[in-house]
Amino acid sequence: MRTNASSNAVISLPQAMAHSSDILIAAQKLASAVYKVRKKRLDEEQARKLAERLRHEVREALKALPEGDYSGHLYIEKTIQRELIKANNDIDRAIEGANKEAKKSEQAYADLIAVLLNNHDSQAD
Amino acid sequence: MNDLHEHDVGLDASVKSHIESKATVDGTGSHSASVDDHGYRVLSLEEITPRVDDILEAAKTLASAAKKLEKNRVEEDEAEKAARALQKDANDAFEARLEKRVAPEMRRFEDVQKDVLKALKKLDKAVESADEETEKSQGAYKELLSIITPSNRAI
Repeated sequence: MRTNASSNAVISLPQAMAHSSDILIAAQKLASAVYKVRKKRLDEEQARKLAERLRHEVREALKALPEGDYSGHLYIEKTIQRELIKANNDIDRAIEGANKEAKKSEQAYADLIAVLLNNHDSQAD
Repeated sequence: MNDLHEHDVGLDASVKSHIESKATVDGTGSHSASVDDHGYRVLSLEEITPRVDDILEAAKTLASAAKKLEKNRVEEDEAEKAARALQKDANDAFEARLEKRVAPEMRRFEDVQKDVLKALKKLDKAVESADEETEKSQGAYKELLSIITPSNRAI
């Protein structure tokens, strides 16, 4: 028995069953986007750690270089520094990906709520 | 499909704008516990994010129960039709038996009666299974709502 029909703005059970595939699709999109956000945040963290380590390595390698050793300098730029740039790019890409998936999860959640609140008849009676 | 009643329009509009403002908040974690005129609110994305697995699980259960229920309804209809047709045969056989008229193509009353009972049993099973699936879908929908709008006791 529905006691508080006036405050019942979510759809009824029969309506929910009729729209169960829409609900499932929204829930699947939501879960998938949330998982991907988590994954991207992990990627970001790992890339940050790597970048941190490489930055340290570059600093140490430069410090160890004799004054005026240009070929040694060049070597560091071509190796460790290049890796550092790549790690920094990975950070950016992970952040971008996380933001994209966060937007998707917002949309999926909005879709889910829209289905659940599309109330037509339970208040009419 | 959006021809809502006057009362509903106001309600839905306020709820929807409320939800949109909540659902699109990103990272600010506004836990203002805002309660609308109807005494409940829909949680924000941040609040439900830890429970997406439960949401997905509930949605899966709901969808599968709804699908099975649909199948059950068809089975119910078929079983009912079969039972009715058999009962009619049984009635004919019954009349024939009382009148001691035995047409060669007519089945014995007792045999038809057995089939009627079988058909009824099948119908009972379909109804029972439908009840189970209804219960399952109700549980799943309740769970879904309890995650997304915990203070709402709609069902």
